[in-house]
Amino acid sequence: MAKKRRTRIDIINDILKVISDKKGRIKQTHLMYKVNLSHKLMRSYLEELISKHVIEEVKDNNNIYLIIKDKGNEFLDKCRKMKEFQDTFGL
Amino acid sequence: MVSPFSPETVEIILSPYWFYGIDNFFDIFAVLTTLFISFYSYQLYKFSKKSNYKWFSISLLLISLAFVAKILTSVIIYYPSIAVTTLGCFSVVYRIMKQSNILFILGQLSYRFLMLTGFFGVYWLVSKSREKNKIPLMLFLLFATTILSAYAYPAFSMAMVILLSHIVYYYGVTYRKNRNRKTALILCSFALLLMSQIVFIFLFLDLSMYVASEILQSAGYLLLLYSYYLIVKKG
Repeated sequence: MAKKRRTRIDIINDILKVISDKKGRIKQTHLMYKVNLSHKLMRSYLEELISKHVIEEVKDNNNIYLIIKDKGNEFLDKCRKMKEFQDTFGL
Repeated sequence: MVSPFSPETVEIILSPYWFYGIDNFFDIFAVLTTLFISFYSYQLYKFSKKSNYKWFSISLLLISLAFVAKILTSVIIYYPSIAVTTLGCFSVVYRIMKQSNILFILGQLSYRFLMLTGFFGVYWLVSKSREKNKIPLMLFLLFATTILSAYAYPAFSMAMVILLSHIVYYYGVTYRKNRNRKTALILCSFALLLMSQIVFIFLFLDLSMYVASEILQSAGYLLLLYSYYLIVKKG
């Protein structure tokens, strides 16, 4: 069965969920592999999320980490409720 | 709730006298429940831009508007327009029949058509049907059913039974797949709505069937509201 194409919201949810699962902090390269996006596409999403203060970039020992912020957690919660609504009502 | 009638006849109320107006409170509850869920679904649509949420919101809004039409129709019947005119030493009190008849007919037909269309929308979404070209035909059939119900009131309940049976079936399928407790609650709520319409068909046996139907319907909407609360509550 063909996998359904991810929407923009799905991709953002996947990005934030991966960061959240890694205790709120992850290296960019690790994120790219986990979310299964090209570098270019990943970068465009990250720039958008950073500009909207959903996540932030921090440097630590020459490594760049991505950290989820409160706005990101709120977004994740909203996505979770949306998925729950969708599954419950069979939409 | 009143049966259909020919233009010059008296309006027949199918509710026991002691239940006059009480059914309006049940209907207000249904209006609020469907409005809450419709509004939340619309918010999810604005968030995700997924059209299913928009159509679900519209379907529930139609059901809500159906109940509003029913409440307004009840107001016309239970609290009729009275006119008083004086002829010499006599005061003549008469009911303004023609105006209330037109409003009554419009209210009844609006209630039935909106209700059928709303539940058809829910059925279309949960069945995940892809045949969009059949929608105009289905809407026409629903409209024809609405007109038919003006001459034979069970036509509306029978159409509702068919729609709700399908909705209950598809929620059963969904529950078997996801084993979600909230889906089970939704399944039960629509099952109660289905039972209420089945009971309503047997109104000709006894007027108390109307009361039973209203109670079953309200129980269905109560479960629906509870399921919605479980989804939106924090934590």
